[in-house]
Parts: sequence; structure tokens; C-alpha cells
Amino acid sequence: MSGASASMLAPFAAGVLILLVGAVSASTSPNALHRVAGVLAAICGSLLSLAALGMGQDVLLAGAAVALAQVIVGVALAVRLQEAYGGIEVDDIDAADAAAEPPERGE
Amino acid sequence: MMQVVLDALRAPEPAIMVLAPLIGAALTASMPGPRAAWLAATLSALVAAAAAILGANSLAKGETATGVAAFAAPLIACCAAAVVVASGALLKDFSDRAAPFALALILVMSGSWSAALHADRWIGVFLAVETASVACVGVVALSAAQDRGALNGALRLFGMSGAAAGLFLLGAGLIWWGTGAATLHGLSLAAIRAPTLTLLGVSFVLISVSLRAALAPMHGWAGAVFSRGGHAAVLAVAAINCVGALAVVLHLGAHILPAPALGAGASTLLGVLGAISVVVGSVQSIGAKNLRRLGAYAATAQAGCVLLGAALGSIAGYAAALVQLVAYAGAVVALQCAAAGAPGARANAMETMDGFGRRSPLAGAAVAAAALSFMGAPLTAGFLGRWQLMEAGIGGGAGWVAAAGVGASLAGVFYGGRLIERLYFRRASATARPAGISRVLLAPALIFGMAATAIGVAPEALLRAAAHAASGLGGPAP
Amino acid sequence: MNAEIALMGALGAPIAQALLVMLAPKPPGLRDLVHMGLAAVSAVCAILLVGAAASGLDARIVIARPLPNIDLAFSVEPIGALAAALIASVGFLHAVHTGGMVRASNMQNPTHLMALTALANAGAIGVALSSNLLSMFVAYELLIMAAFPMVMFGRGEDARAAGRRFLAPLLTASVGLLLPAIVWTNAIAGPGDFQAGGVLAGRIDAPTANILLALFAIGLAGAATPPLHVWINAAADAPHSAVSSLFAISLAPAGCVGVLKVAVFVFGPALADARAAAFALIALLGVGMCAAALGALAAQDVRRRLAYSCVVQAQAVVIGALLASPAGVFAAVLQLVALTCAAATLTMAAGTVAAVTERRSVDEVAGLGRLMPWTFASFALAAASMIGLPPFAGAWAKLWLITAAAGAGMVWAAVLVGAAAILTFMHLGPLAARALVEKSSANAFRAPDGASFLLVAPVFLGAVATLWLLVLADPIASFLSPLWRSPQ
Repeated sequence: MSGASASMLAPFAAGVLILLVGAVSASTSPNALHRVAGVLAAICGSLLSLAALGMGQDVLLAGAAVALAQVIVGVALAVRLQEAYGGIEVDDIDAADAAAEPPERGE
Repeated sequence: MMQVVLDALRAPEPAIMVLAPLIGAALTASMPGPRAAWLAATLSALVAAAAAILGANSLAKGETATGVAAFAAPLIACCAAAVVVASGALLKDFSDRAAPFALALILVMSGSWSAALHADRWIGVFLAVETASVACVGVVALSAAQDRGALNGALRLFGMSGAAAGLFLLGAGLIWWGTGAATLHGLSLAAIRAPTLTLLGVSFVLISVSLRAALAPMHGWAGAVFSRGGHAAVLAVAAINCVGALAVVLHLGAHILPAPALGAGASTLLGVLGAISVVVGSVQSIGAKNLRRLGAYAATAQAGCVLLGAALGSIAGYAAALVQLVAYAGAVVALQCAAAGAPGARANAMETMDGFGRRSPLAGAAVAAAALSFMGAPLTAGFLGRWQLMEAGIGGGAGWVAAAGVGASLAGVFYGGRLIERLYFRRASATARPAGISRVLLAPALIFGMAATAIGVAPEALLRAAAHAASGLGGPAP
Repeated sequence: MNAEIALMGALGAPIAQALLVMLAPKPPGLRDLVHMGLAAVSAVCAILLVGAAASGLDARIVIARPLPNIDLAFSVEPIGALAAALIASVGFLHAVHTGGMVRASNMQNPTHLMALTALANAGAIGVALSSNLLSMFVAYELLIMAAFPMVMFGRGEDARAAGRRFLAPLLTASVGLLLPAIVWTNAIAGPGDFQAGGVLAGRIDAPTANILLALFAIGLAGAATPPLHVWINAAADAPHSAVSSLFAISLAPAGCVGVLKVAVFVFGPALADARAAAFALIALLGVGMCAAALGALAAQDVRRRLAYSCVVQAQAVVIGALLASPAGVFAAVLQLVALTCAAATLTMAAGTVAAVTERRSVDEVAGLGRLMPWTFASFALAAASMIGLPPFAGAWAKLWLITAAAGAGMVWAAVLVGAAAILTFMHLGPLAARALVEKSSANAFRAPDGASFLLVAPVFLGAVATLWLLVLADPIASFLSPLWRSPQ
């Protein structure tokens, strides 16, 4: 990033870091709501980086709209998980599904 | 009257392929019950498919602009029509209240992937891809009426595609920063002032979309969604979401690969993703004991072959990738539709297929056609795609691509052969219910299964269309 | 009848045979009539093609164009026409014999087996008459797919493992080796038909030639080229009619014809550039012949012993093809004729014996020659041909093979062929001798009327055919001579 000022570098790096943390959390967190938060963090982190790069408002607004839609869907999903499984811990959900799945037979 | 209709469909084909599903989605969501919603959805999907077929015909004659969009958008529309029609027999996967919304989301997926193919600005592609992804999560989640496990699959898909959304945005930002180009067309013409960062941005974008196509190693969500989702949702994910995402990867690649400072790196990335997908997907398919996971991992392996064609960066390679995309779509639709109709299919067990070829000959033939296409058996679309891939690889001095194609075929022989063996050489268990597959499931399965075979016998039109589309490597003139 | 119609008849009749047999399984008489009648039609058409090839007539039919500029096409040329006539004619004898086997052994679901053997014959004839590598590949795959259920026929659920052991190496070889070789060849030489003089002549360097030759030879695993010839183990326990079809009529002969066509029409003089691969393959085959002959010697089941014996002969055909000389090709063709006639006779005879006496092991058949003189006389003639005893067909083939190997500077290959012939004598000679000389119990037959005409006549005619090379060797040489004139 030659020619980039330090003032751009710091928020860009912070945005990337938030994106990475959010992405990891969204994929691996043991709690469904944490995953939703992870998705939000990932998109917000990328928006922060884009803002640091000087992208236009239209892009930032589009990103924000997508983040909002993701959060709404994610929360709705978490609510449905709570209703169906009685909890939103991913390990408990996986265990419940594994117990319900018929055993796989060999060939 | 007919000519008026045809002219109306023919003129703005891309617009119809995008708008018809979206308008249909709105109509479908407003319908009072599942059946009415299905009828509305079917109508709009068929309108889009009709425009698609006319568009495909024009492409085969070389009358339209070149480019992946002109080739892939009709394919997505046809797949969506098949999914919507087949959903008529699978509405019990959704509750009565949720069914109209689920069907609407399926149409949104179709329209969004078509829009992603036709969008020229990076932000437009982003919005379309994310709309399709969110719709996909919604469809999977709504299919939890019969099995709550679908919610688990939806959660995994949500998490990974949400993270991918952030990656896409960052990638688009880096591309813009490195090139100053906000459009795909501008990429090959732009002066790239920061090649490394731009290449990084391109990589992020390609990885983000590849994740939605269930390409390895980002396909961790696929096993959960395919094994736990409702049949209609799995069909939609496989036939619309994965096909659409693959098409968008090809579309983006067609603009990135000709760019001077980016082509080599992007080609390497596509090649690596393709090779990993072939290997991982093949190994997982061979080891799969669950029918629907087998379908998911086989699709991953086949998608890898598509990417390998694109990685060659040549017109021949791209044409091979497009042919393989058609083979992929045909096989996936035929397999998933027919498998959804097998009695006891809910249990996902491979034993569902035992004797299925005898109990339901037509559905069994569709599954067999899909398996043969995965294997790359002669006179199937899969064989045509593999041949073209190997030829393009050898001709381009990339023998490893040909070797990967051979490896995919060999793996396909094992898992496809195992499926065919179950269909015709095993007896159904004593407790198996008689096969009575619904016609609305059978029709798409048969049509796509027959197409997968017919294309292998008389491929001239497809080859012309693929060659014409691939000649626009770099995109059609703005 | 013009050559194109004969071509369509030779290819289409077996396919029609399979379809009609499935559509009309009852009454059994009608089914057998259809089965034998259409086999006869195929044989007649194939024999007419030999005449067309001898007259230098050009006949070609195109079924489809599945790839750019590459037709799925079949045409007439000397090697293919001769092989097709052989396969179709012996196929007719086999069809008659199968009719007898069905009645004598009360076979369950014989319709399926008849349809599968017809399809396998169609595939084999397709390989023989293929006009280019793609057509050969498609016909070969059809053959493998038809052969696979034959291996499992009538053996219950346990046969699935055998079916997989049969299919896996064949498909691995064809998809993993043969297909890449075909694509590579097309990339080098462009799309086009087989050419006398070789499509690759003057177009490839030595390393490429060596790799391609290895891919082709091992890829056509039906010819039993090591190391992917392990399908033999699974197929050797198949029902008798299936063993006859696989080892004597369809799979093994088609594999051999495939290698011959590749050697003559794809490589041509370029085979000299692939000397290293040819050496290695011939060494593998020579050792393989001896190993297969030893395996036959160890086998106590007659069917298994004969299956391994057929493999020895098939590997000899491939050696001839790889010798890169007209003498080698001629020897390979003679060996193919001898293999098909003798192997079909032996395996059909074994089937006859098993059907009417239920005796399957080497010790059990001793002495049956006195009770079944026609069958075992024919068996003895065919065994003599397989061993290479003059004046039977196999003797001339072996003689030419040894001569060609020595002429190519591979005396060691000639020694290996000779050693295999001795081992063949050791596993077939005593078998035939004991059957004819020893005494057997009088009540050996299951049914009071013994073996029917349908079971004995094909065996006898097959044995007679092992004598015909006495008079036909020179005409065959003239018939094949256009192949080693200058390329067109």
C-alpha cells in the first residue's frame, strides 16, 4: 500500500482484523447468536476497511443493508433453533441431530 | 399472437430472466396457500425458462453477445423451472404458512444469480450474490417442518456465507483501490497501480463466491445442508445456488483472467481450488454412506472440474468449463429429483436406492443417467465435458489438468458405479414401500437425465454455444 | 447386399438380438429362435464384410457425432473384418450352445444372460469394426458394461464382490489409461479415422511414443496385459456360458483386437520409437503368460483352468502386436483366430460336461471321454491347438510368433512363448488325455439322454474350425497384405 497514509492504514488494518475475527466466530462459535454477531462483525469490519480506502457512500450503504438483512435472518434462525431444540448451543444441536439420525450401515 | 409472445420474450431476454422470477416471487409470497403459490411460482419460472431457451437458441446460432452470462443465465433459469415444478411434490417439507415464502425465496435465488451474471459493477454483483445467499439460507431454514435438522444446516450455511459476504466486500474494495475500476469491464483495461493488493482482492472475491458453490475447502456447510435439509431445499441449493455460484465464478474469472497483472495469479487460484475440490470431493464421495451427502460431495468434485477448465485461461478451457457446467447441472437435477422421490428417502440411507431401478424404472434411469454423467461415461454430457477438459489441458501444456480430470472420472466410476449397482443389482429390503414417484418430480428428473445423455450424443448446439460464449473471454463489448 | 448394409447388420443384429430376447422371453422356443437367428444374421453380415474388405471396398457408417469433428463411426478394414467375422461366427455357435445349456441345466432367468451375451458380442464387434479411437472406446465400454452382470449371473448376493473385482480394474484401466491416451493421440494427430501406416507416424518423439504405447496396452485390460488383468480371477468363476463369452468370444478377443488396431493404425512405424515400452510390455506379457499357465495348472476347477489358459493365448496375441513388424501382426492375427476357435470349443465343452454330468473338477471329468466321445474329441483337438501342436491352428500361430520375435531380435520373448506353450501342454494335455483314456462310471449323466445336439454340435464345429488355418493361413496373409503397403 505505497503512498497510503498512516491514517488510512490503521482503520483499514482494524477493519481487516475485525473481519477475520468475525469470520472465525461466524463459522466456529458454539453459540448461534455469537455466530450472528460474527457475521455482523465480519461485514462491519469490511465496511470499516472500505471506508478507510475511501469507497463511496453507495457501497457502504449497500454493505450496511446486507448486514442488516443478515442479522435479521440470523436472529430469526436463532429464535427458530431455540423453539425447535430448546437451546442455541451448536454442540447440543449437533448432538440432538446425531441422536435422531438413523445409524449408517456399511456396504 | 404466438409471434408477439415470442418477440416479447426474445427482446430483453436477460431482463426477463432476472425480473420474471423476482416479480413471480412477490406474487408467490402473496398467495393464500401452498398450491396456489406453487402454481404462481411455476408460471413465473416457466416464463423465465422460455426466455432462457430462446436466449440459448440465439447463443447457439451466434446471434447474441458473447460471455458467460449469455450462456449460464438460461441454464440457471431452466434449473430453477425444474426445481419449482419438482417442489410441487415436495411442499410437505414446508409448513402451509411457510410454503409460499419458501417458493418465493427459490425464485429470488434464481433471479439473483441471473442478476449477478448480468451486473457490471462490483457492488451490483455483491448485492445480487448476497440476496441469493440470504434467500438460500431462508429456504433451507423454512424446510424444517419435517426435520428440525434443516435449521442446523441453515445455521452453518448462514455463518459461512455471512463471513464470505465480508470477504467479498473487502475484496471488491481492494480491487477498486488497486485499479480505480468499479466495473468488471474496466478491470482488463485499467492500469493496475497495486497488483498484489488487487490480486488479493480478486482472490477474496473468488473465494467468497466459490464458498457458495460448495467448492472445497470451503464446503463445510454442504454436508449439513444436503443431509439435513428438506428435499425441496436441497434441490434448490444444488440446482440453483451451486450452479449459479459456479456460473458467477466463471463470469468473474472471464473478466479477471485477461487482465495483465492478475491473470496468472487468478488462474493459479482457480486451479488450486479446482484441484482441491476434485480431490476432496472425490475422496468424500467414495467414502460416503449417506445418499444425500454422496450427492453433495460428488457435486463438489464435479464443480472442481468446472474450475479446472476456467483455470486454463484459454478459450478452449473456458468452453470446456461451460460444457461441464451444463453436465453438472443436468446430473445434479436428475439425481436430486429422482432421489427425492425414492420411498424412505427421508432417512438418507444408501439402502433407499436398493432395487430402485426395478421398482421405478424411469426414476432409476434418471439416477443412472446422472451417475453415468458423473462417471464421464461415453455418450453423456459428463464425458463431453471431461474430454474437452483433457483436450484443453493437453493442448495448453497443462497435463496436470487432464490428470485431475481423469482422477475425477475414476472417482466417479467408484461412487457412480456403486449407485448403479444398488439401483439394478440389489434387491429392495423386505420393508421397502413400493415406489410411487410423483409425476412432477419425475418429469424434471427425466428431462434433465435425458438431456445429460442426449447432449452426449448430439452436442453440436451446446458446443457452438459454449465456444461462442467463451470467445468473449474478457466480456462482451460494453 | 452392399457393404454398408452388411456393416449395419453385423453391428445391429446383436443389439436387436438383445432387445428382442428381452421383449419375448416366452415361449422359450421363440426366444431361442430369435437368439440363434439374429446371431446367424450377424455372422453372415460379418462374413460378407470379409469379402468386402478383400475386394478393397470402402464402407463406413456414422452413428453420431458426439465430439467436434469426431464421428461415432464403423468401417471395414482387413483386421476388423476378420475379427468381426470370427467373433460373430463363434458367437453364433455360442448362441446355439447357450440354448442347449439353458435346457440341460434348468437355468434361471436365461433371458438376461442371452441378452447380455448378445450385447457383449455387439461391443466386441464394435471394437473390431471401429473406425477411430473414440468409436473403439465407446464399443469397449459397452462391452465391459455388458460383461459385468454376466460375471454375477445366477450367483446370488455374494457375487457382488466378484462383480466389483471384475469391473474395477477394467474401468480403472479404460478411464484412467485408455481414455487419456485417446485424448492425447487426438491432440497430437488431430481428429480422424484409423490409418494404415499409423496416425502418429512421424508426429511423435520416443518418450511420447513409449508413454502412449504403455497407456494403450495396459488401458485395454481386456487383453489381459499385466498388471490390470486381475479381473480374470473374478470372471473365472462365472457361469459356463459367461466364461465362454468373456474369454473366448467377446472381452479377451476384443481387447486383443483393440491392441492390434492401435499397433497397426495408430502407431504404425512409430511403434519402433516405442521400443523401450514394447520391450517392457513384452517381458511383462511373457512372464504373465507363464504365470497364467502355472495358475491354470494349479486350478482344479475345469472352468478356471480353461479361463487362465485362454489368458495365456490372449497375451500371446498382444506380444505379436507389439513386435512392430508385419510378421508380428500376422502372427497376432493367426493367434487371435486360433484363440477364439480353440477357447470357445474348450469352454463350451466344459459347459456341456457340467450341464449334463454336474462334474466340474479336473479329477471328476477323467474318463468321461468314453461316454461323451464327440465332446471330448473336440476338446482334445482344441486343446492341441491351444498347446500349439501341429497341424492345428495354434501351431501355425505359435510358429509365426516365435519367428517374428526372433526376427525382431527378441529371442528371449520367443523363449518365453515356448515356455508358456510347454506349461499349456502340462495343464491341458493330461486333462484331455485322462478324459479320453481313463474309465468313468456308467451313470455319469444327470438325464438319461445325455448331451443334446445343441450342446455337442457347436463344440464339434468349433473344433473343426481349429483345423481351418491349415488352408487359410496363406489367404489370410494376402488378405492382410494391404496393411503393410505404403500408407494411403
